Amino acid sequence: MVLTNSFWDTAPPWLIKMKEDFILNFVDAGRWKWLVEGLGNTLLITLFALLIGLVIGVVIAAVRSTYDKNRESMEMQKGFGYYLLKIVNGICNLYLTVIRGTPVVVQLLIMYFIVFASSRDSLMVAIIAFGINSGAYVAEILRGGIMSIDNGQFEAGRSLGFNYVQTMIHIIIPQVFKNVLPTLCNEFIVLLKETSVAGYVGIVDLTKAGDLIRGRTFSAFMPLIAVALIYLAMVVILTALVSALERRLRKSER
Amino acid sequence: MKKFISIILVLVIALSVFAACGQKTDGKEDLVMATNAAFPPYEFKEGDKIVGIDAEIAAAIADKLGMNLVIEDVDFGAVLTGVAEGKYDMGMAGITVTEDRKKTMDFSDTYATGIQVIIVKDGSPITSLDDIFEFNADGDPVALKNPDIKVGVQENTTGDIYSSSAITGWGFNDLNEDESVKTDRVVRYKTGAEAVSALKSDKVDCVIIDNEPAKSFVATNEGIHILEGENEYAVEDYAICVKKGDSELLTKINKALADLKADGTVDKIVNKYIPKDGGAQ
Amino acid sequence: MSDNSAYIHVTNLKKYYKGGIHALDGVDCDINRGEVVVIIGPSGSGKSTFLRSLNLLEIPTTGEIVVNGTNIVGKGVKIDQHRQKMCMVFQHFNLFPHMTVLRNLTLAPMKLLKKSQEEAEVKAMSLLQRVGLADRANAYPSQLSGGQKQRIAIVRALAMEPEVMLFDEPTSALDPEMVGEVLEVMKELASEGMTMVVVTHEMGFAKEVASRVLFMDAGKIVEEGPPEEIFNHPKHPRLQEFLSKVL
Repeated sequence: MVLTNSFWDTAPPWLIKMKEDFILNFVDAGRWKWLVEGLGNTLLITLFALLIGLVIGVVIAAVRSTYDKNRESMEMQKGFGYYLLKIVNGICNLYLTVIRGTPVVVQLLIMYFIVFASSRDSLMVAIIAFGINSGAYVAEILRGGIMSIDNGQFEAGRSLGFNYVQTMIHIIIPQVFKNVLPTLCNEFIVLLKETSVAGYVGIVDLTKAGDLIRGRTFSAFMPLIAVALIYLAMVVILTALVSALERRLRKSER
Repeated sequence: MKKFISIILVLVIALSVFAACGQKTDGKEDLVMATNAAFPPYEFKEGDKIVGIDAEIAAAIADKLGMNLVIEDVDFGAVLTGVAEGKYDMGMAGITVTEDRKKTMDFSDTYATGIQVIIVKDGSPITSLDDIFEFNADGDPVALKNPDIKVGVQENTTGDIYSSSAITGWGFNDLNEDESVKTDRVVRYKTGAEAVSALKSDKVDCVIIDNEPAKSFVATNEGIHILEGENEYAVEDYAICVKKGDSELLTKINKALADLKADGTVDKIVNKYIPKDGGAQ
Repeated sequence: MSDNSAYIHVTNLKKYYKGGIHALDGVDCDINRGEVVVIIGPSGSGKSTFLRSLNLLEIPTTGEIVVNGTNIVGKGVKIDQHRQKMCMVFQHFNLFPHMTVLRNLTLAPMKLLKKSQEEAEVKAMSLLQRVGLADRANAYPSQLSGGQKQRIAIVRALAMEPEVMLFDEPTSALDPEMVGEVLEVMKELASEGMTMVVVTHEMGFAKEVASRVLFMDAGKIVEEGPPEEIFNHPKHPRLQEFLSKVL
């Protein structure tokens, strides 16, 4: 709908100021395109980081819970597998401690300036950094989910003759999946917001896009509020999807 | 070892910010100046103190006005926005006077001149501005010469705006209609120092930044140099900015600035940080 | 394979926990095909630990368990195949809550015995019919009563066509009025000649169904014999004391 001129003739001054601010910040020089590019990069980083995080998380959770669940029986035999698992489990613990004990922005800068010092692709570095970061949290969510399943379920599976892996795949994982899905989605939402520090390594993400508009128009209100609203809209939509999913899962349990 | 040093650096920076927040006032009215203390020699950190040309001139102005100078160290973008919104009394961060900026804030008389220069690694194939950009008849950059080139800048500075206009076509000046060029060819860092460290590890091929900080960076980092004679394209005046319409403060600042220029204080401060023969001009 | 030698032969089985608790302190015992062995004893006597050791849900510290000529305690034993022949029924049922009753019954036969879905379902339905729960085939475990759950758990184990059934206090978690229906299924199973090892507090069941009763105390088998000997002429003072409390 197009507002007629007569509307703006009689509009209150603050509204006219708002309109001018809006035009300055988003319309002039096509500045809205910064936001589009930023949003694209934010979603790109979040999605791929989540995928990396899921892969890392599944592997780490598998190692850690296998170690926890089978420690007793493997200690008896003291085979090569036991020592291998013990070492790998130790490495996983170190990873979890380091990643969860340091801020993501510091990890990102270390990745960018030290680990991948020779890479020119900041987007790739950011995806890897956020993926590795997210992996630690996903791993603990999954492990918590596995450990929260009643041990009787393991025993029932094993007593029917399923081996450890079969028990996990057919009996435990489907139950874990249902239990942790909401938590995993929350991790996704947290990740989405955490990518707002990607600007530290020169990426134009949504937050940085707002900063760039701000640096060019010198007005704080419009760009910041716009960025906040876009984040909020994404989180609200995701949260709604998660609760719809949760309701469906609970229904099928009955 | 590198990781260890980075950790120590982060700690030191965190401590200095705390220290800056704890500065005492002595009953005088505060004059809050916003700056981005990563722009030597205009403003930079020395221990826990912010020093440099801007900091010293600001201190001298505050002295003249009988006020107590409080320096806030924020992002360069936040300096501009904060002043425009009235969060800070004035901004002094090697700020260039531009027509666009004049729309949203008022500027004092200039106290220094800045030029943009290009820093490259030793042995870089880039030897002039023409190796980086294509220009139109007006001498404005409209495209990248080589789409593989990445330009490092400090976000929201003149270098950023100048380069962005060439890359995106929808940056500050609407010059380039070719949207096929990827916008990540200009990499915007929070500080000039980060841009330089990115240059050193080949993340970008050149850094476009103000001349004076560039000289400091080159002096303290090995293996990089400034392209000589490539700095006539963006000559600018540095001035103090205040909130639009704050003519009372502006008048006072201009008066103080004039006095300080007249008695040689400004020259003395500038010479202290920029030795006469070291300048590019 | 001769029917004369014991099907399960347990020698000097010990299980020590950290902290010096001796859950099993040297258990020797033979279990023959077709026998219904009922293990009784005070709580903490090690009877559940012993039962769970038989299919290695508990790993013994030392000792031998020879099943059908193979020592299952030791390296290189295919314990998962062994367990397929020796299924367990638990106190808390441990049905898979995310699957229907039918799926609970067909999962293991399909994945482990490589039965077709059709074959597994036909077998499952006949088993459900046997315990009178064919109409609940598509229900989820949370929709069933405790007695129904335990009957399903029993036929879930039977679907694997095991040679031995282990029962770990199968009626302890049930409301009293549901105990009967579960014991009824177990009696029927015993009458069909299934080899069963049962840990229970149901002395009536032991008297009526057991071919042999083991009394355990402090990690050892203190006395064993046919039910009428154990219940009518207990010799060991610990057994006498135990019976005086529970009967």
